[in-house]
Amino acid sequence: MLFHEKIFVLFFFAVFFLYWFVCKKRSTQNLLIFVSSYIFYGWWDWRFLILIFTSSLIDFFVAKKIEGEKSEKVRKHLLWISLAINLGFLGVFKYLNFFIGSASELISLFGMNPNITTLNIILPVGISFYTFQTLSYTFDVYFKKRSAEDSLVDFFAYVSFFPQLVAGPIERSTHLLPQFKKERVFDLPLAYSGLRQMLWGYVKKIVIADQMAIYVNDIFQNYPQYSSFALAIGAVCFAFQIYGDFSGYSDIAIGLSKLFGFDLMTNFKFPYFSKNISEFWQRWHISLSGWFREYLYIPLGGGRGGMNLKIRNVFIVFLVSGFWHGANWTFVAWGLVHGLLYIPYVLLEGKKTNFNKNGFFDFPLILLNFILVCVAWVFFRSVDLISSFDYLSGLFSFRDGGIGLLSEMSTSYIFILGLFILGEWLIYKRYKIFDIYHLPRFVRWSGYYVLIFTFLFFLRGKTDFIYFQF
Amino acid sequence: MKNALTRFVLNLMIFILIPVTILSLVFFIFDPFLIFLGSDASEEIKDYYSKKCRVGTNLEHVSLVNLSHQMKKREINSFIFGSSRAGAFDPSYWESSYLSPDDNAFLLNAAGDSLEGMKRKLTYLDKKNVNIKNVIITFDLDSLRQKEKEPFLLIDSPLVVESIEKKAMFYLQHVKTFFNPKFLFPLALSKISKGKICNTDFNKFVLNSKAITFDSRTNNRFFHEVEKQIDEDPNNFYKTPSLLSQFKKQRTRTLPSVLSDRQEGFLIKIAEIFKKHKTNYKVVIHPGWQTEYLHPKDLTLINDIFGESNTFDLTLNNWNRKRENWYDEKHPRPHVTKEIISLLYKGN
Repeated sequence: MLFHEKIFVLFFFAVFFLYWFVCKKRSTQNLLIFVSSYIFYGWWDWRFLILIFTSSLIDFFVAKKIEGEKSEKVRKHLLWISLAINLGFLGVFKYLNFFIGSASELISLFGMNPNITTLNIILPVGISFYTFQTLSYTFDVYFKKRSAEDSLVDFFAYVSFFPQLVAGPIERSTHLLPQFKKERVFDLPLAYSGLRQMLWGYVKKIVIADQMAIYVNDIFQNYPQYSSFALAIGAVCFAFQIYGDFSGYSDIAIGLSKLFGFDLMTNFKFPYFSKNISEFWQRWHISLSGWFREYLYIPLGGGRGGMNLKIRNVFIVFLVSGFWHGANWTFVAWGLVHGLLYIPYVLLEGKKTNFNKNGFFDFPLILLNFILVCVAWVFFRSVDLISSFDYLSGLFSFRDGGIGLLSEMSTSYIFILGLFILGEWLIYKRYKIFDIYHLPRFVRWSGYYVLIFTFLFFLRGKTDFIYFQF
Repeated sequence: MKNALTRFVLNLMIFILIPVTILSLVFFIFDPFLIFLGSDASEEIKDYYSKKCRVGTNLEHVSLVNLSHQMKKREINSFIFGSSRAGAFDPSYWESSYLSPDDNAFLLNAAGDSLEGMKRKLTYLDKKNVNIKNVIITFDLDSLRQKEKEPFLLIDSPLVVESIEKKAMFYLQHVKTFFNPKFLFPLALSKISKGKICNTDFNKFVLNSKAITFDSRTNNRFFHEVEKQIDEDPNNFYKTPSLLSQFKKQRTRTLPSVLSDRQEGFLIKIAEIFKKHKTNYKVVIHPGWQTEYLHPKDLTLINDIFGESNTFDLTLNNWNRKRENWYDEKHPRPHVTKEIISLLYKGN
């Protein structure tokens, strides 16, 4: 069930009605969230429910054991059990075929024919997201940041909360789970803010991401025939596509949660307006980078122990982050490129400079950073490493060639794209453009109608969200 | 909380109802698809065809409404059936050259018409006690094939379908099309610009930008603007990518058999109506730019049902020697259809 499918609209209205008009108690509302989230998730394939159920059940009981256990050694063992099971699921369902394939290729390098066949495994939608969310809970209990949860229903509702189940934001148990324990009162301004955020999310997904996908797919599939100019535009288009797709999903998820009285963490803060890679990572997929900082970088020692150790830890985080995105060396390379781009900031950290003190170089720095990010996206989007290097060599060879479907991009669409960038810039500068209560209703509603009309105009059937595959 | 929730739900309903109400009013009052034609339907249709930027309409429905209005003025007893390919058959020419002076002919083709559609229209005429004296009925691969009709332009008119569900589906398809921004946006642009912006790129079925001379008496539509374009500068007319690829290469082939038992049933029913009315009928296997023979099994079946003397297989033709005989690879121009009519009555 996708957020822009008709069935989801029906599903949402049914759940919303039951949630506020029928289930008036907190406990029944949580039970409704749990049941409806399982229906939402099972809509893809009911077999996926077995995995999320098992993973949630294990973490619920392991965390309880951890909390009640005094021996540090046993606590650690219990944490490892949770890690092994959760990462085991992830390993089997997401990475097993990749490991088998890579091992087979490695063996064949030595002249042997291993004749290994991969397994027919379906990747459960959003497995990386909910695995990290449930792990966050076990970590938090282990590090004594919170107590173990008593209510199985509340915990299951937390892990499977449908607005953010399949593509985040990856919530911390310390932030989201307490919200399941509070009585929820319908908050009108919050609900309106949620609707506005959802609307902007739909615009990002349908008007930007899905349209960009047409050009991106064409260019990345036929890149050997295309000019360097087309390849450069292709990489830029992909930057827009993935941003529109993922941040659009996050906006819809956050907006949707607000309608149920929940506050999810911000996942994107205008990352393409960052002036360097460090800032980019404070603005891109914030819930994941925060997760890695909290549960990987800091436990590894973080910045303590000298510069070399810090660089090592940064590299580990970026490699794991790349690998988290998918079972392909292209994602690892993407993480590695970001790790390399990040090193100068690690080295310069703490050294104050007066460079760009008055913001004079803001725009060139934003542009340079955007170009670097676009180059890295080539690894992310390519089907394999060879293709990504071919694409990049084509990009920097300044060759002639065709431009494919780019020639069909209409001026009106370029205008819409310009308006979108301007809109994002305005929101970035004013930060809360969604708070437009002071404007007359006629003006506000006209604006909403224009946005709805625009995304309905560009709506073209069922298109998946990119991050669902992770 | 209850107040806040009620206010929210109410506001949401108002927010949804405002555009739905406005658009519904526009839909019913302006009737862009001509589905609520009134007492002066023929004039309304004529007025519609004279416009330079027109919304696509369901040809079958509009033609049937026009027919019932014309029937009030005179007895119509001669009909031309077929898909859009039969659109260039001129009933006036047929009348004046080959029919009796008191015969009145009417073009009753429909976009993407099928055997079932033709059978339905004949049954409709039969039930209305119309004297079906002369008929030219044209078949091609698409009309012989069994297929579901869905788009608003092709769906069966409520005048010829019997089930309430199918009648409702006709209106529902139009409503669905009307509320689609892909339709509304170009429509609004054309209305605001008074027809100056007639962007047919959004959806080729939404807007037509070529004016037509419409004869409400015979339901004939003459594409005078296109005709002028071809006559004056054929190279310019045929230079669009679609036409270039259509006329690039000619092929000869035999089509696979497409007539199922169901289709055979429609053919038999059509023949029964002809027999009942003692109709003087001509069955035409439509020619095309490509030489595509019907499967011998299908052709034999058609010959058996309608009789060889009444069946004219024009697949092998001379008209496809010249590109200028065609609007595109499937649709012949009026001078070709005139020659076809002459051929049908040769020796009579």
